[in-house]
Amino acid sequence: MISLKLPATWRQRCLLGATVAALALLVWAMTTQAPRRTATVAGCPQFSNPSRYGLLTSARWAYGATYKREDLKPVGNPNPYPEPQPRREHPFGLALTPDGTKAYITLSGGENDPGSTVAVFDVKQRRVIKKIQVGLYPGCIAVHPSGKFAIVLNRFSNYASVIDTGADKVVSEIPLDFYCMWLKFNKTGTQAYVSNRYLNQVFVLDVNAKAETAAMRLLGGFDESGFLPTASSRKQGNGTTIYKTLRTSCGTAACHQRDRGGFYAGQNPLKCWFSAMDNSTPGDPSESILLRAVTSVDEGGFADNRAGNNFHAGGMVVWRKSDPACQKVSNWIRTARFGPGIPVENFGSKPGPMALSANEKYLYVGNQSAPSVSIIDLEKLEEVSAIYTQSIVTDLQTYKDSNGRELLIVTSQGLGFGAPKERDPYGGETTDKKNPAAQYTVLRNIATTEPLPLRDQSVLGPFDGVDGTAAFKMGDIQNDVLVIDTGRLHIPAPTSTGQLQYALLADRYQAHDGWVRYTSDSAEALSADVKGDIAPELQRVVGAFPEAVAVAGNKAYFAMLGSYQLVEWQIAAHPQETSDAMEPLAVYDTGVMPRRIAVGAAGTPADGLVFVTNYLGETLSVIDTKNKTSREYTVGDLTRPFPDTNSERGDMFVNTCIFSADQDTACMSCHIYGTSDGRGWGAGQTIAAMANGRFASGGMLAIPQLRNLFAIQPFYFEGTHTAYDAQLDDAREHVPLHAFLKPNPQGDYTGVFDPRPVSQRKPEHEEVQDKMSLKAWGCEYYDLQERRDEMIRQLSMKYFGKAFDFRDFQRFIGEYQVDESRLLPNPYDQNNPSVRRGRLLFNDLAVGCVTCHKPPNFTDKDEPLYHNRERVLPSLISFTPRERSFTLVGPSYMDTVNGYKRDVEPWEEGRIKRKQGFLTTFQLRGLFDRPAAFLHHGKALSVRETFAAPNHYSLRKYKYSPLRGGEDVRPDGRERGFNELSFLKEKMYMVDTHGATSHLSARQVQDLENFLLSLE
Amino acid sequence: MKLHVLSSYHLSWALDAQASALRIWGEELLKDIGLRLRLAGAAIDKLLSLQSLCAAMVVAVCLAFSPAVWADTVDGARPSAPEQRQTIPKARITDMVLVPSGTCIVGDDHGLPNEKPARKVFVKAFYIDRGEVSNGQYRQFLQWVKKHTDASVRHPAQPAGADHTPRYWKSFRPALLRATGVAVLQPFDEDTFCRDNYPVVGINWYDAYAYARWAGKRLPVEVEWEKSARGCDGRNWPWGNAWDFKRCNSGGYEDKSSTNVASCSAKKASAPVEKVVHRCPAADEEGEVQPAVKKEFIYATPIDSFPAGVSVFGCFNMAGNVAEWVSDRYDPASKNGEVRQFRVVKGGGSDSYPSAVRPAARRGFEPDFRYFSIGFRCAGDSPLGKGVAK
Repeated sequence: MISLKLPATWRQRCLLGATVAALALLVWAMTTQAPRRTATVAGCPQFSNPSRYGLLTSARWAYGATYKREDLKPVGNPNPYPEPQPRREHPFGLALTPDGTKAYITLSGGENDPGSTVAVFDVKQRRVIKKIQVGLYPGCIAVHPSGKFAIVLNRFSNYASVIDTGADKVVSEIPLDFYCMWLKFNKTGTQAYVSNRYLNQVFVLDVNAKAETAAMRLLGGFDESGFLPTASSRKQGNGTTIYKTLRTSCGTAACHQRDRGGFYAGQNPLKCWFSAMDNSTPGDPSESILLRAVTSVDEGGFADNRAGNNFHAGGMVVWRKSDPACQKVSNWIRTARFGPGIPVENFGSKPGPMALSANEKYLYVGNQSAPSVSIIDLEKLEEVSAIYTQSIVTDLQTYKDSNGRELLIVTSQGLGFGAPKERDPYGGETTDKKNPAAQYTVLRNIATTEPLPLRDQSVLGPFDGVDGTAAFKMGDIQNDVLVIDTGRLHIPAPTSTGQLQYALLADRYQAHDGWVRYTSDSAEALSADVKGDIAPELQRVVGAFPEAVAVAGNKAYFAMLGSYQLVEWQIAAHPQETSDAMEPLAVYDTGVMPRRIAVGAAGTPADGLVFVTNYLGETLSVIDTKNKTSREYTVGDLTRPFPDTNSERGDMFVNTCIFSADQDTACMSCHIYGTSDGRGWGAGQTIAAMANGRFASGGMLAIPQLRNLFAIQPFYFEGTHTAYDAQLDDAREHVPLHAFLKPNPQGDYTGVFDPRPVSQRKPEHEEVQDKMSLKAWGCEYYDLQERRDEMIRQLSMKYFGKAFDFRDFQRFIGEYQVDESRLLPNPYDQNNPSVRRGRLLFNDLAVGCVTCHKPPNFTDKDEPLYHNRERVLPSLISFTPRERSFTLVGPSYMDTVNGYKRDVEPWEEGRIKRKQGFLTTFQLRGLFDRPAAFLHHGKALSVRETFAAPNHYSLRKYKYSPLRGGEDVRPDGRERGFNELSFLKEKMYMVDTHGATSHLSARQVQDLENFLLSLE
Repeated sequence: MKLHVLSSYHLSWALDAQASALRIWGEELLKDIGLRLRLAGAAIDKLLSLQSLCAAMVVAVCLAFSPAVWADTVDGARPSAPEQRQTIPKARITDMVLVPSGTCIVGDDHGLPNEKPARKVFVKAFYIDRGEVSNGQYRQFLQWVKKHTDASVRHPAQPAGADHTPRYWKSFRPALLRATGVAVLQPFDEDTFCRDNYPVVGINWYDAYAYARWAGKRLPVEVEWEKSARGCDGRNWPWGNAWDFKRCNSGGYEDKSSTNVASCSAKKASAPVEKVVHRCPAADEEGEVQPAVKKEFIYATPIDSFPAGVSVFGCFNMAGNVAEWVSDRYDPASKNGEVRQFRVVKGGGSDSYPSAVRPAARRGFEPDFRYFSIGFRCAGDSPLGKGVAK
């Protein structure tokens, strides 16, 4: 027994009392003030408030916040010893004054070293006469129709800069947000539209031309006046406010007086408002957890859904839909809209270029993650439909002819992405081994890397993805132009469930009265291209990677970024054939990597001139279409000529198409703008084999971003490659050996032979594909390599001034990959309470994200996942059986086996994976900017889909039922949770294989997603 | 019987085909008579009231003696308009086969939604072209049109100004491609789609309709076309239920051997063709490496190619080679509410996968749509009481 003896003196007693009180205070602080998983404290200084717009935003939109001018801080380079690079200014955006006297060019710089100037180019003098300081990482610039001022969008700044074109100085700034990408004025210049990439919205600006400024119109959001008590309503005991309703129904001592289950309805009305918004979907009561959680299953809720994981407080139904309280809350939600702009397409759509219809009723918005052109009704200020393009939109313009016919001209990528083209249930998509069209896995002998015999392979079932064209071809890197007669578009009504529908599926190489889709002239020009599946008359896009289009009169000009060309097309007035709507007429050379175009107006000093910014070349091309000349003028920094370093040479290989055999292919064709094109790709590594040995493409892989590569080595799906580990694997797709069997678009190299005697011939690098080719081709294999090298030598002499072999590009590409991180600064509010809660969840071992996605790069390259049995979740996200990859064997390993000594990383022996089908963890840095094709197979179409469990009630309805390859991949119109072993048959799936999330509430899932989006 | 014979193989094959057709025709006729009598009797048994009994008697009489087709089609009814029911001129019967009356299976429960459901239909006897209409035949039609205009043969809805010239008989390639040098690398040239014994392509439904009328024929109804291809047992492909790359001209990644393009005519397939040797070694089930095989052709092959793939009625290239227009409408209303006037295309072409060259496969296009792998063949009505095609 313990006996306590009180201190003898008062002083001692006071001391004891103070100690006890301090201890008690400490305990209280630890238990009540420590952040809880779902805790948020309104008004607390370390948290900001959420916005009223129903989604995670930058800090600018936090409730109660005042606008604060801000520039994002560029992300650093984790590589401590990158190759020193010259400073380049990267001319990007371009606009001409209407009088044709000046051109304004934004000098954007790079992601990690952004610029902040605009060059003023005098057309008559043909030189830069001034540079103007603007915000950070300037992109688009547009001159007001009056010609008096220009607006510059600064991607790393939350404001646009307004330049007076008379004084050539910044006269005002327009508060906007980060990552504003494109701007379009209406004809009279009273309004402007701005696409915002990270919010996936279009902003509407009211322009004050006289004051040379503009203001953003704030659209949408939840109505606070009906929710929060006011001074007068307080007198009535908060009267009829939504807050009063929720407080009465939910905010009892036993329920949501405290934050419980992700919802608060206690004494603090502001906190209650935030909580209600957290649990509501603007405009859609039927989707809002706030109502679904308390209504019955028979009314679309889940309050009494005892069969599932989530139900409300013992299955208690609080409201029927007919209850006045429920209707009141429902109406409050229904009047809300996402904001502060106009959202377009599905989650993560990444809107980009825009064009106005001639009558200014519609705004067409090209998306750069969702494969479509959104159509916004400018009277309703909402999206009403879209045109499905199957590939992202790089630019678009409208053209109206003298007959009143309006055409929408869209530049895009190819339809194909290397995957099987059509559903073929009677052919390749069969499990019948006896079917001659059946496809098999390509599992390999680990020691020899040879494919196992057919009897040891598995026959594959339904295709992972189709791209809707006719036949498989590896060189599915194509360049497309769509021409759409907007007068034939019929805007369909939404479905009964409120989903929008596509007005047109322009996903075939066909010519119709209403639309036609053209593709590369070299689509079937390589000897190994599968031929005969594209209409011949439609193969007419000259050049590679159409980046921009400008229309003047009945001519259209396309900047072909990949081939350094400007191509002039004619728009036919009365085409006799639908396929002759447009025709290429002439080709002009530009500088390296043309990106934007401006056409001079007739009767001005710029009459007949076309201006093109050359992003890598640091120049402005001025093309005289009358005299057929093209000249370049320096506008950037050519103190050192371009290219000057190995990294710059690698940049040219990666981001332009000049070194490809078909003149159409670059790394950027898939890794568009350093990230991806929002589609899974059936690239060379994802293959299947026919019974007759012919390889076909059977599966899909997501395209990783080319960012932060130094920090996440070894990469590739199975962790086999370092940065210098011969991106020859992929680089060879640009210059495959079979392209040299016959003449190709680069030339005729069939007269080139390996000069070495047979006894001295030895493969320099035997990637596994070539091992098989060597066996089949014999000595011709070496001749083909020599031809490839000859082509590379000739091209590198032309562009680099020195002849290099193909193998030299290993260093160039490696240097390019690691000299910068190219990560973008994150725009989201890091102090948002949802982000903070999400961080706690991410780090919670019961959820498990952090065990594999370890900071700072949120990946773990030291522990291949097949060793994670001791972790929380023994199961893996698994490949489907189709996804057996070549990358089991790193090229460095093959070099080591063959005794080839490289001069880059000579110590690197390379990697070979002993077990097939196990992945390293994907990094999460830069996730916010990645187009929507997540997980290794690219099938997850939103961030939430990657970790939510199947049928979790947090899964949302899509605005459009997503199409991939023209196929509806979400027939129920909702997100699909991929947190399962997806290769098992549907009835046998197991949940919680990618983090334990099935037990999380909807708000927790949202918190976790918001945290992932906030990662830089 | 006048026969076009080039080899004993083809002679014996042709005789076999005719014998099969005779046998099937006889069997179907007996089934037809039996079916009508049974149905007539069943109708009488089931109806009890005097009024119903009278109606049933009328119905039974009509069923027993009516020449109507009991086609269970959705959009395409057998043309009954007087101008579309063709009595074929005798001179034109020689390139046609007779498909006798009888039931057959159309549609496919395992196919795409627009093929479902599989169902039995009764199709009255008709004639159908052995092969697709060729460029040579179409040329004669165009010459006639130039002389006489198409006023007497064109469809009433045909847009004004159409001259029926196939797309690829006119310039279809921009001149710039010749200047850049890419033109020589493309797998086609200006003659690729113009050769006489090859199917005419790049024609729209109105062109096909007008030609058929000029020829004294008509476009087949969808169920007629499908019966011609699948026979009466609803097989997946004209030769049976097992897929075989070598029996038809289809697309994709399969290999095709030149021996399968053996033509009934003396002329062989001529340029341009793509000879690509597949260099990747193949491994069969025993692990043996197979020699590479060659792929011989890219677009359509002659109209009488792939004899191993003919249908039970003797029709060539009902699967693959070119897809074919038929007379039926395709889904008049779309989900967008606009009224579509599409027409059905059957059979798949040289660019289609195995599933898409099944005779049950069907697509819809606007009647003025043209494509490099869409052609057509004609049909005609059996002169009543006449025998097999001579």
